[in-house]
Amino acid sequence: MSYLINLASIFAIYAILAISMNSITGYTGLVTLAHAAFYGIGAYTTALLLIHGGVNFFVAMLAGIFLAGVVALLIGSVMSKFRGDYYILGSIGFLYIINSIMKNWDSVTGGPLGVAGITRPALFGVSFAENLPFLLLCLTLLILVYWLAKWIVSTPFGRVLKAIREDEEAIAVFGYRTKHFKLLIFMIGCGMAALAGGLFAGYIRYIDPSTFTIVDSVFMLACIIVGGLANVRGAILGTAILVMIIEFSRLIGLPADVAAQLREVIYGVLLIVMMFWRPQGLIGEYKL
Amino acid sequence: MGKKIGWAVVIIIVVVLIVILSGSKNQEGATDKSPITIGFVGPLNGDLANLGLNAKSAVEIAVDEVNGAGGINGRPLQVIYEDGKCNGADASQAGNKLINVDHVPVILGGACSGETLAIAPIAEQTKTTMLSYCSSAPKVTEAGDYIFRDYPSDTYQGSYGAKFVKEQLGKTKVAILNVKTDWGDGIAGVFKKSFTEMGGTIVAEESFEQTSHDLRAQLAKIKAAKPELVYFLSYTDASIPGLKQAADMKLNVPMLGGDAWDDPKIWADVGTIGEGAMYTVVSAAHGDTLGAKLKAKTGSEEVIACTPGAYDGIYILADIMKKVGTDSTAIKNALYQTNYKGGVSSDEIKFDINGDVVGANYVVKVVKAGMAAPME
Amino acid sequence: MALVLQLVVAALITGAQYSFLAMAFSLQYSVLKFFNLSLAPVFMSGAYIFIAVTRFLKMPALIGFCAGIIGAALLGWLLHICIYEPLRKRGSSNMTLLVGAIGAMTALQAFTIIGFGSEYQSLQPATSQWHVFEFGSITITSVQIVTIAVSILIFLSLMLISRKTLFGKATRAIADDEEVAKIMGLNTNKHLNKVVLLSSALAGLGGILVGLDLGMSPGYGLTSIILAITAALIGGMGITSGAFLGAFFLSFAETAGVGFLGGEWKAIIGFSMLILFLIFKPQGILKQ
Repeated sequence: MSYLINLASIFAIYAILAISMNSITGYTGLVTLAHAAFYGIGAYTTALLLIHGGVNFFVAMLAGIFLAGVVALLIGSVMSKFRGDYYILGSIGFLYIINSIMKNWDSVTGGPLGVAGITRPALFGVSFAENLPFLLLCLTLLILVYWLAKWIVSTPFGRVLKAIREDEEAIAVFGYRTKHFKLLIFMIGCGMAALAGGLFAGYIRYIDPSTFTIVDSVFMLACIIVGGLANVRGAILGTAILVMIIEFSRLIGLPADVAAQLREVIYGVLLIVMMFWRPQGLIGEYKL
Repeated sequence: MGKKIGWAVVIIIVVVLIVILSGSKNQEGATDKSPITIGFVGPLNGDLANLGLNAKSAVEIAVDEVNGAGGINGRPLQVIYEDGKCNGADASQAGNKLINVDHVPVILGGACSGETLAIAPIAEQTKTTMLSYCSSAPKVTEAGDYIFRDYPSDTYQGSYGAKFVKEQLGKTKVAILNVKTDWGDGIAGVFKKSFTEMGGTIVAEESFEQTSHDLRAQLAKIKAAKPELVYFLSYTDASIPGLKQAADMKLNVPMLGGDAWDDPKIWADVGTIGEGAMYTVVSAAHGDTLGAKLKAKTGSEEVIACTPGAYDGIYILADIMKKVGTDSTAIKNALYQTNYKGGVSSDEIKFDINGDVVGANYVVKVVKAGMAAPME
Repeated sequence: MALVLQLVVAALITGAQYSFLAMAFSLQYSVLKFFNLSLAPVFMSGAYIFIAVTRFLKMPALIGFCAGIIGAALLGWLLHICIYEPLRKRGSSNMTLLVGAIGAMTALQAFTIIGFGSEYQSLQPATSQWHVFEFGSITITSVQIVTIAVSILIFLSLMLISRKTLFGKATRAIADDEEVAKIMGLNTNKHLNKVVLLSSALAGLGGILVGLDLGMSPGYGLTSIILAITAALIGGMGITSGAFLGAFFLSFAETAGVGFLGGEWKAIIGFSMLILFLIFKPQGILKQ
């Protein structure tokens, strides 16, 4: 049973990541593979403030979201100059740079060894050290993020985003500063990813740069492409499917390494198949 | 609004179900003959699989021997093997499973320091004892009250290497070329400190990412600094091209490596280039007896660095569990009092107040005709 | 001074090694107009087929060489007719093709690990050491000389083909405007297949030569394609001669960085170049 709790917690964290990436890609049409970097910024900030600053977990997590937002502002402003496929390229570049910083800035990030001994969160005397309470925390945050994402879409801001996605030039004619809108949603999406990162750090209690690579960004992309772009429930659906694939591959008894690679083959094939069969995803509203 | 309430209700129901189901988990009924299960974590796949698999074979031999001699007060010893893949996230999952699903009282592992450091917080929280047979990062010393290791800390390897180079080889000018990992950075740092304290000079310090195979620029800089020896700390992946590139560049100075060079694959691949290469490795006091047993089991008598520690680890734990049972805290307390004699890795194994093994036996191996053997 | 010369030689070797995949990528991009990341496994397949033929089938190196080039060409061509050609026929967007390429790359890389393991492999056993040439205190191996020579040869050949042959003219026609080329009676699909075969063979050749000098491991593919794209970008996206020059620009920048700063900066320099050029000179340094 604790195994299921573990699974559900990981699922919740991945789902938040998927929703956050979907907020960007689904509504601007821009694929950002830099997402793992913001996931990492959230994780590292939370972990380091917790351990070295003695700060409360939730405050640390907020700091992580804030820092991710600032970095997203910087990187997003640069990337907003790039069109579609160059955007992806740029995002890969930034991901590598941030990952390099995680690996080389030894004195702060612990380098390749990462940060260990992260404690579970506690708030007003309630401790989330046990896995079950932590799962509840993850689910609560997932619901929050879900509502936030849905709310954003329903606002005028969200409608402008959709318009940008459909025809950026047309709406620019009306005087909308499309770059600012894209930048803002990018910051929001990256902030959500940082939230997931903080949760992850608190959960696994150990983080190192190897969790925040392009492989992880591709996983998030697969989640939203399968589930459906521009649909918040689609992001959750896609995550559920991919997590099931992970568990299934663990259970069929292949040696762990082969199973992991087989999963990658499946993700890759899924991406290709989805491009052929349903580019908008299972319940998505937007085709790339 | 209705939809939102609907979602909340669904989630509450799911959570309640989980709580009910988890409460009804049946407690393990201890019968006298049921096996005692402990956990093992090591890299069974990937880059350092040779390390993990070799250790696993030795552990299996030890377990068979222990069980053949009556087990632990009549109960057979059983090990659940989990793949840590030498990285923190996987090791953390592995540790989680062993602790929360399999409920082991003690884990023999991890191998890589990243594995040990990842599982350590979980082990501390759940009061599960850990005995690492291979983690050498200095950070493990402070990993926790329940965390032990019978493999020496890197701080020893770097200083041993420095002493060897300065006193036995008589070299005063050394270039360091290390891979940027905790292992490479850690040992290089200690070496540098010790060597300069002894009066030697580090004429060049170069490093490279773990995934690099092209070390030409670094080697060119090192060659220009005219060292008398190169302290080349690298894993298999970069060592093979690195050694070849050094030879291509006619950087004909002696090479000293770390325990990662205890991989026959390197020397088989580089051939004559490796002639005369040296490396420090933890010496097993009686590795050859273990080698013979491994040969009988796997066909190869190769004993890789951590394996004696893993073998001894089983015996240490088995002895303790015979005396104090399977309570993890009791095992932990007993470990601090341990004075294990006649081990394969060392004649006497004791742990200090941090859980680190006391003392370190190193030996320098030298490569001749593709085979490594202790220096005379 | 000798150090600087040796570093220059190192930069020349690395530049030549980058140039194969850069030229292959650029050639494909000029006509297909999308970032075919699946050239990364095609690049690696040259090396791995060589390993399979020389080590497992125990055949001489020359056969391994030919097998590697032909195999890579076939792989690239198969990917094209199974994935990219059908998607293009449906009018899929560039992003769709790119996501498909990401999928193919992920799946094939995992496949390679299942087949060959994730460890590093040498292409040549030590017993057949190649010659080392010494010029003063500068050293260079025979494989490295061949790599540089072949890369220059390919560069010149491609320039010649492009200017003087019908094949080259047809390629440029399609690169300029595919629709018009079709109207003019060119069988664009057939021609594209030929370009794909040629560029994939080139990528495979690069893989073998790099593998002979440095060995190969599955993670190498992604790094190589990103660097190749960076080189192509520096020289001007879609200009094959630009890719050749861009490869050397990149390798000299990297080598200078390692020379003056240190080995750990190599990756950051590469990716910083990518970002810098994306921002400031997306059209490359050559005049279009």
